[in-house]
Amino acid sequence: MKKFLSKSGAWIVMTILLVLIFVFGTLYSLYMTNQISVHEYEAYLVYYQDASKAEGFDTTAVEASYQIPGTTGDENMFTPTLDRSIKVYSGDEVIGVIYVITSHGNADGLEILVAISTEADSVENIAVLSQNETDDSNRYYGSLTDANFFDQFAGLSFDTPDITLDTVAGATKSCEGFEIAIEYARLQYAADFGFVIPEGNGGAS
Amino acid sequence: MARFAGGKAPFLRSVDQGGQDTKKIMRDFLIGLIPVILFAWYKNGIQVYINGDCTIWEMLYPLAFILLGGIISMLMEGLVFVITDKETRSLKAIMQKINLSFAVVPGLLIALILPMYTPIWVLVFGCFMGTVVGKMLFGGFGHNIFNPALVGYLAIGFTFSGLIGNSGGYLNPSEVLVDSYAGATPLGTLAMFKTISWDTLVAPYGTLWNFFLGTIPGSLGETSALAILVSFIWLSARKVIKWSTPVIYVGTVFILSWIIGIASGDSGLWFPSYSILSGGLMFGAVFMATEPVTTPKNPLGKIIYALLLGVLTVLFRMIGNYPEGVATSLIVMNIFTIPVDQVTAEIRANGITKKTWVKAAVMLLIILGIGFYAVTKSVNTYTIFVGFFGGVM
Repeated sequence: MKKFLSKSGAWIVMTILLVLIFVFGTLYSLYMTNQISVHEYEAYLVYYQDASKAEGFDTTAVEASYQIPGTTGDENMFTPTLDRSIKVYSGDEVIGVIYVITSHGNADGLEILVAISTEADSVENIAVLSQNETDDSNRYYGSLTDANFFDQFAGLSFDTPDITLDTVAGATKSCEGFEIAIEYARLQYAADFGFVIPEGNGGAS
Repeated sequence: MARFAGGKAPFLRSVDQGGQDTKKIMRDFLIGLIPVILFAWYKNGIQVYINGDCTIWEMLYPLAFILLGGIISMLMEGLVFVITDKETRSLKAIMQKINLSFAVVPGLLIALILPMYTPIWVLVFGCFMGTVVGKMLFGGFGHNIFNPALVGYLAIGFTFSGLIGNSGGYLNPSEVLVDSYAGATPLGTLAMFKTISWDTLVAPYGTLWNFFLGTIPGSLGETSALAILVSFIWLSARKVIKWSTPVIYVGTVFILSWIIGIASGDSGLWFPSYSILSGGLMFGAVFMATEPVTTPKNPLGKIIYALLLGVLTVLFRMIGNYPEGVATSLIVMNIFTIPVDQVTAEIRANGITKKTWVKAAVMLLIILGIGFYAVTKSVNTYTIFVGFFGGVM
């Protein structure tokens, strides 16, 4: 035994160490990969008070098309796209749902995050994730921040037939893009959570 | 002429190391890696943990990943010693051999040039390819033709590109826990948009100061020019590396990038600065272009080697299909190390003769031919450079 160990002990130890590194290292890497998605969803918790967990979920298909802002005619219709859908929990209770929707304002690609309170059936918060609008610092899309345009979203109730926003002169098309995103979020919310939209549906066809 | 290997292994002899023993060089080299390792750990682990954005296990991962690279590489080399040498069976004998052969270095370097979320089993594969295939199959330390770390790195790149992509980018990690570190690397952005514009290439990452500090997306150890600079000063002062090689290599990339910027209508110094602070150039210049075994031994050879590295890096970066060009350039130039060494040794010994002119011209033609091939065959030729390169060639 002693002879065997002195002859083969070193390579046995080294092989065992390599196998252990391979196995536990792979487990460690899997843990890290899993943490990427955990942290990704953690970023959505900031839109709610008392939120403790967020996770993606499968949605019910919704079809609705809208007039591209500033245009007329059937050939100028577009369908918003739902990029992400996330449920937000406080403990085990769902307190909100987030939809990331790409709408069309003055240009395509107006990507808006709509955070909805499932307790109040209203908008909790919104965030613009990306946009291609005409973005001068004090004009067009850039004027929305100055005009406190974004203040009107928190608490905006879904329990109304038509959702209309206070638009800002010079950025009308961008404002309409936001309105469409909110409308589409409400349709999706209704399909996913059984919310009943009051009569009238904000221009979707 | 006796000091030059003349195409026969070993390619490194004690006289090439300035009388320093291998243990001392290895100790100084490892000390030189400390600033880079510490920055990689701080940026990807400690800072994120302090901000409360990750668990302690996530905080430890970058350091564990880098150190494991070294350990794996060492264990594999030890196993090869046991298998191939009957006299090397005891732990003491194995450790003695490992201490003399820079066994820990290839694994450490491979880990430092990989994305943070690369699975550890991929690192094991890279270390196997680098240490066993790239180094030990050639006969071990001093006999290898290619830089072992680069062999491992490129083997991973070619074999697991999809998997690496899912880990945060093709050799371009996105350290997803910090917003400003996420997304495409600066060179990835250049490859994507194919335009020389401050707003596209620099503005998304802040300023060039961030490039210098290293607070931009990039592989674990390659982003911080500052940390690499500290390592460079230490390694040069300790005479572990020759200071001129990294300076000439980086300088060549700077000047060529400046010329390309001017040809593309932007003469600002920001683009050449961006070029030298992006990707793995600084890291490659300090830790790989100076590797003692696979690079020329004599001063003139080192200068020519570094110049050609710079030319090929710019060519591969601007024209190639992948955003980075440092690793490919180094591997290509590894092939020409022996001819460069031979020709420059002859020049040193006999002066410039007709024979050396012919040899140098043939060698230059081959190297430039590779570059030309890359340019003409690339499917990713930057439209803005077409006129420029068309005019040149």
